[in-house]
Formats: sequence, structure tokens, C-alpha cells
Amino acid sequence: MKKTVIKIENLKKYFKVYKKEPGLIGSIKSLWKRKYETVKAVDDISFEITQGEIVGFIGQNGAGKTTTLKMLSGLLYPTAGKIDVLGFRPWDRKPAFQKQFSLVMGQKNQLWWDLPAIESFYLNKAIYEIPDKEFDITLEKLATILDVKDILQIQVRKLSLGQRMKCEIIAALLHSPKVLFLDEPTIGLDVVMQKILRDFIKIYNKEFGATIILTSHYMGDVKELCERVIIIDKGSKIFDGKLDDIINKYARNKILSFTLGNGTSENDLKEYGEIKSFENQRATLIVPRIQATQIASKILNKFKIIDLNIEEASIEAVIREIFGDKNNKQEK
Amino acid sequence: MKKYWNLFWHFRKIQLMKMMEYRSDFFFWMIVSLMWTAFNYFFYSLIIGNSKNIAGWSYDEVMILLSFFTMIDAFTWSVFYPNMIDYTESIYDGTLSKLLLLPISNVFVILNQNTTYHNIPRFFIGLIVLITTVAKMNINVDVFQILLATLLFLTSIIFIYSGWFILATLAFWVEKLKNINEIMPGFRNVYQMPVSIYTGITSIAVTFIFPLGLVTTLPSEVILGRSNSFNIIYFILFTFIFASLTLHFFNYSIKKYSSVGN
Amino acid sequence: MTKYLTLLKLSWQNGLVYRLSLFTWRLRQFLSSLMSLTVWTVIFTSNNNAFGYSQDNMITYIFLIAFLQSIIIASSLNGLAQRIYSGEISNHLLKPFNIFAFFAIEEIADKVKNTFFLIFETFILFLLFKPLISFPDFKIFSIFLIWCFGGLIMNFFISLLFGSLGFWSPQVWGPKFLFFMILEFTAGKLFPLDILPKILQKIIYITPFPYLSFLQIQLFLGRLNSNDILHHSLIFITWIIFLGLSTKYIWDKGLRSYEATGQ
Repeated sequence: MKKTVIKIENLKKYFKVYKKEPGLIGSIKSLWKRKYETVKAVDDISFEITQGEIVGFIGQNGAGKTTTLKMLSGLLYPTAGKIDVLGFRPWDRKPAFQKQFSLVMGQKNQLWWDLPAIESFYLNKAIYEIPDKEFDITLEKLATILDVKDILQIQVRKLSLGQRMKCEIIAALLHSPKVLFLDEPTIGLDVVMQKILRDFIKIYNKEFGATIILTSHYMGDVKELCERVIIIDKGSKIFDGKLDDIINKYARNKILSFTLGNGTSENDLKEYGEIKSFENQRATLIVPRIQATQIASKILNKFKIIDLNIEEASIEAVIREIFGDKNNKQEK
Repeated sequence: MKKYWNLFWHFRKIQLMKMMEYRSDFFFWMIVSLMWTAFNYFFYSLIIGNSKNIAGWSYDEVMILLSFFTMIDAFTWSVFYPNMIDYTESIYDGTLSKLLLLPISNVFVILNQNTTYHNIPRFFIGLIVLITTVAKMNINVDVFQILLATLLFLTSIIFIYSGWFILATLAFWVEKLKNINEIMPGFRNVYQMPVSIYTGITSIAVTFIFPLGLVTTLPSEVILGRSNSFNIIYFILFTFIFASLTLHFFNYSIKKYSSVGN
Repeated sequence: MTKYLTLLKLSWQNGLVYRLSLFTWRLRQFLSSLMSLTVWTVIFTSNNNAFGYSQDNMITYIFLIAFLQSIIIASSLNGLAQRIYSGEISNHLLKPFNIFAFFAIEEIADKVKNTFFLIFETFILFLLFKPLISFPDFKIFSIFLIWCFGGLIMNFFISLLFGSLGFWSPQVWGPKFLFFMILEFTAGKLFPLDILPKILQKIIYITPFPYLSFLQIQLFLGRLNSNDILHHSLIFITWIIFLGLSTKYIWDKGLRSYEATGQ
């Protein structure tokens, strides 16, 4: 049986935000009196993660993903709730805990800007008290997988964004953390680099048996890496389960695509569903999920159909739908 | 302990490499530092040279005080300033988070990781002027005096660093505090002169309420063989309490740290 | 015109967000004035006359110059080079207003705020040191005001010139620091320039520094005769024209080579 590595219960984090009244008077007033407003960044979230899992955190900007990660790493004190990571309370920030996990934030760097990356690695070696031998082996391994061996001696500021990100990741992994939090690791990287990083995360997860939580804007990252996803919206968990289940649970539509024989016009199809495209007699329809087979057979009966496909909506579309639905009713 | 000792030197090494990376900067700032030191000595010799004596301190005696000032100033610019600038910036841009995740004392890293080297000549100028002035004045300085003066010098350093650290830590509490790191340099003016030039309320303020005035006066008085034991004990005690207060305030602030980026 | 008024209002508000920053800046200035005045008071306790100044003269001098410098030298444009280099000013360049007018407005808002604090500080210093201040006659006072205005303009140009370094290099703090350092010793707040050895005085008088407040105060205290006034007015005007033209030339060049980096 696999061990539970991360466990949070009824986690909450509220922030006070300063509100300035508009105008000159407002700004003078704010000199001595300020108004605050409470923002519920995380509002009652619970989940458990077992060893070796890769879990994707999905949510819009400001949904509370990063806040949750920060609480898991001990940077933020929760307003309420329990957190247990590797048997520690993160906000005690005990060295024994800190030596076992790592947080990588895509936009923030820990490398010394003016020095070669290797110097930052040596510093981390001293800070995490990594034995010489272990350090050499890990560095060798990481640098080989990520293919950065020949740039370790170059100053960080002269590296490309992708190279820098690779080095960041090495710096974060030198102490072989058991738990890894990746906050937007692929932000700003090109497609090739994104792929390399994803592959790397997979390998790291397998080889080190590490537990990984990943947040990303790119569904690509999540689709490829995570079996399980947690969707957070406005501070609350709205879904927790297998990626595929999102479709079963949330997708309301399926996609019918088929090629028609001559003589059918776009108008004839209108009654069957929403027409997404119609070109050279090739049509794509969006139809309600439960009626999909029914409609398909109707179409088959009525028109001359050369071929027909019934597909699930893409995960991106479904997720867009979840959020779109919540925020904006008139959106499809 | 050994880990921290190693880290201390590790930081120095990294900083040295950084300095080598920007050699021309290093030379530029070293020249600025030397000019500044020269200006300082020049200014004091100009105004005191004329009046022979200021608040009971002779020209040579003020030179000794000024030498302590110069040495403390070397620390101010090569240690306090770069570290505190980095510290406050990291609070505002959220990179302090990174530091909190490391399995070592945060205070150690914050107070230690940066150094610049271009003020080292300045430190030695201060030391040389101190030694030559003592030699010129023909006063006897025994080992005990030297040890006590060194102790007071170190106490002054802790005192100023604590003050700076507590101010910089305010950055957790107040948004947009651009020049918090300008306050301590502003205070330097106060201990550039013997504390006896102050009278009335100002004197009480810089001797007892916040003994900035004692920073350079005490070690100088010890060297000159006319130390005031009450002030010495008071200053050491004050610094001790002040430093521990600073640490508490830091820990408290870290607890309240609602990290940025949200 | 209304857009500039709105700008003025905005930059005033923006500055108030940095209320504590302003406070710390003022505290530093206050301490340096306090220190200067204290030192000179002490020096004159042992002798009544030094460097051709009586104690009252000297205290009045330091008091006035501390006040005037706070107004003339305080500048919101200290971070200008950084703003240029980081690309922040792109926003302003895209908008339909004169960028120099924009800077001037920021400058005015900043100075107004500083003056607001300055009045309190000056009041405290006045109570502590009780300088004797007698106003010059109307004619001299008018010239004094004109010179003060000239000092403001000159400092504005110098700030813009330093700022323009940001078009070419990120490392601008060095020259600026050097400038401040020289200013501290040549602008006359620590001591009046005429106590310096003659040769140094000669050198300083060919730089713009004495015109940033030292000569204004000399004029105010009646230490200049009509020949001096004419002589300095001419040099003053020459400097302003020269700095103004240089600023224009360098900014034209800079803006042409400006790569709007960053955002």
C-alpha cells in the first residue's frame, strides 16, 4: 500500500487587501486611515496525495493554486485547517522537512545571476549538506538528462531562458527531494523546451519515486503528466479525480464530424445541433452528449453520409466550459 | 556550527567571483570610496584645524574618532548596505520565499550573503590613521585598552546592524518603502562627531534613548584612556537587548509574512 | 492644459503612496541639517569668529542653505535612468503629451510634498538654533528669487542628463552617486565654500555646483556686491543655456536609439 505523503483538511487562507478610495481626497484620507477587504484565496480545500503521484492543479489566475502551494511549502500560514506533508507541519519550516522537498516557481529564480550555475549548485550543496559523492552522482545524472553539461560554467545571465530553467530545476533537485512542487514550470518556454521538461518530470518521478504537484496554464503539461487533477476555482476545490473523469462529469456535448454527399446545404443540418464548421461537404456538429448516438443515426438515415465520427470534446474545451460557465453564463 | 562557518566563507567566495566579474565597477567604487574618505578627513581638518578644539576634543582626538567612524563606515557599505538592499528587495519581489525554504537559519543568510570589497582600503585607511595618530600623540595604550576598544567596536557594529535590520524588516509591514535603507546612512551623521557636542534633549536622545552618539565615542575614549564605565556598560547592555529584540521582531514578521505574488 | 493638471494631481497622489519613503528621505535630510548646525554651533563656542563668519552669520547661513537645498536639489527624477532602461517610460512616450512637461510636473509635485515636510523641519530647527534672519531689500530679494528659479531649472536639466544615461546603460548609479558626493562637498551645506583654500574655490566656481544654492544664499545674506551679482548672473545664464542645449541634444539622440525594452 502506498503511503500518504500530503494530507490537507479544510484548508483556508484569507488575505486582507488594502482598498484605496479614488481621488485626491481618498489618497489624503488613506494617509492615516485605510480600508481593508477580505479576499478568500483558499476556502476550505481538502485532499490527500500518496507517494509517487503526479497531481495537476488546474485553475484560473487567482484561483488559489499558488496560495495552496505556498501553504504546502510553509511560506504561508493557513488561516484555518490542517496540513501534513511528509509528517511535518510545513510552517514550522524544520530543516528536516526542508531537505526533503523543493518548490520550483517558473518566474522566480534562485540562481546567482552573475555567476555560472555551477556556483549556485555548490552553494546549495553546502546549504543542504549534500555529501560529496551523492552530489556528484545527482548532478551528473540531472545534467545528463537535461543535457546542460557544457553550459554549467557559463554565467547564468548569458544563458537562454530554456537553459536557465533547466539549471533552476537542477538547483531545486540536487538534494533529491521526495516532494516537488512545480508552479508553472513551463511558463514562457518554447514547445521543444516544454516537451523536454515534461519528459524530465516523468523520468524524475519514476526514478526517484517523487511525489509531484504541478500547476500550469498549459493543459498540455497536465494532460501528458498527470493522471489525477484537482481543479480549483475561486478558492474551492470543484473537481478531484482522474483526468478522463472530467469529461464524463462535465462534458455536456460530443462532436459529430462527417462528410456528406452532394446536395446538402448547411441549413439542412441546423436542426440537429450547433454547426461548428461546414466546408467542402465536411461538417462538424456539436451535439448534446446523451443524444449523440440518436442524432447520429438520424443523420445517417436522412442524408447520404460517406463517413461519420463521434468524438469526445477536448479537455481544454471542457475545462474552458467549466470556468466559462461559472464566470459567464452567456458563453458557450 | 561548522556548516555555518563553511557557508560564511562560501558566500565570501561567491561574492569575490562576482566582483571579478565586474572589475571595472570594483575599481570605480573603490575610487569613489577613497575620495569619500579623503573628503571626510579634509573637511574635518579644515573646520577643526581652524578652531583647534571641538567640545573638549583636540584635533588629534577627533582624528581618532574619525578613524573609528571610517572603519565602521567600511562595514556599513560593504556588509550592511548590500545585504539590507537585497533583503528589502527580496521582500517586495517575493524572492524571500526561496530563502525561507532553505534548511538553514534565515537570519544568517540575510545578514551574510552579500559583501562588496571596494571598501576594504577604506577600512585600512581608518586603521592606519588611528595607529599613526596614537603614535603621534605619544599616549600609552595597553593590551586591555585595545581589547576593550575592539569589543566596543564590534558592539557598535552589532548595534548599527541591528538597527538597520529592524528598519529593513519594516518592509514586511509597510508597502512601498523605497528608501528604508537610507535611514541608517542618515544616522551616520550623528556619530561622526564626539557625543559631547550635543546638548540638552539631543544629547539625551543620542546617549540614552538610542545611543547612536556612543558608537564612535566609546572606543575612542577607551584608546584615549578616559573611558566612562557607566556608558560602556550601558551601551553593551543596550546593544544586547536591542539585538535580541530585533531577532524577535524578525521572527514575528516572518510569521506574519503574507507572501507576495498573489 | 487640463491634462497637465490631471497629471499633477496624479503624481501628487502617487507620491503619497510612498508616504513613509518621503518621511525617511526627509528624516535623513533633517539629520544632516541638524548635524551641520550642531557642529558649527560647537565650533563657535570656543571662538567667536572663524573663517570670516561670526557665529550668528554662520548659523543663519547653514539654516538658510539647508532650507533652500531641500527645495532645489530634491528631485523625483533620481530613478529616471532606471525607468528609461527598464522601458517603463515607453508608456509615457506613447501618450500625447510632452514628456519633459510630464517630468516637470512630477518634479513640481515632488517638491511641493518636500516643502510641506520642510516647513515642519525648519520650524524645529528654528526653535533649536534660533538663527537671526533679516530679509534683503526688494531688489536683491527679486534677484534672489530669480536665481532660485534658475537653480531649479539647472537641477532639472542635470537630473535629465543623468537620467538619459539610461538610454545606453543599466549601470547609472555610479555616476549619479559620484555627483551626489561632489555635491555634498561643493554645494555648501556642510560649510560655506568661501572658507576653502582660494585655489579650490576657483575650481568650484567654474562648475555649476555653487549655483545650486550657495550663491543664492550669499546673495540673500548680502555678501555679494553688484559686480559679483552681474558676473555670476552671466555665468549662471551661460550654464543654464549650455545644460539646456545639451539636454535637448542628448535626449534627441537617446530617444532615437531607444529600444523599448521590457514591457
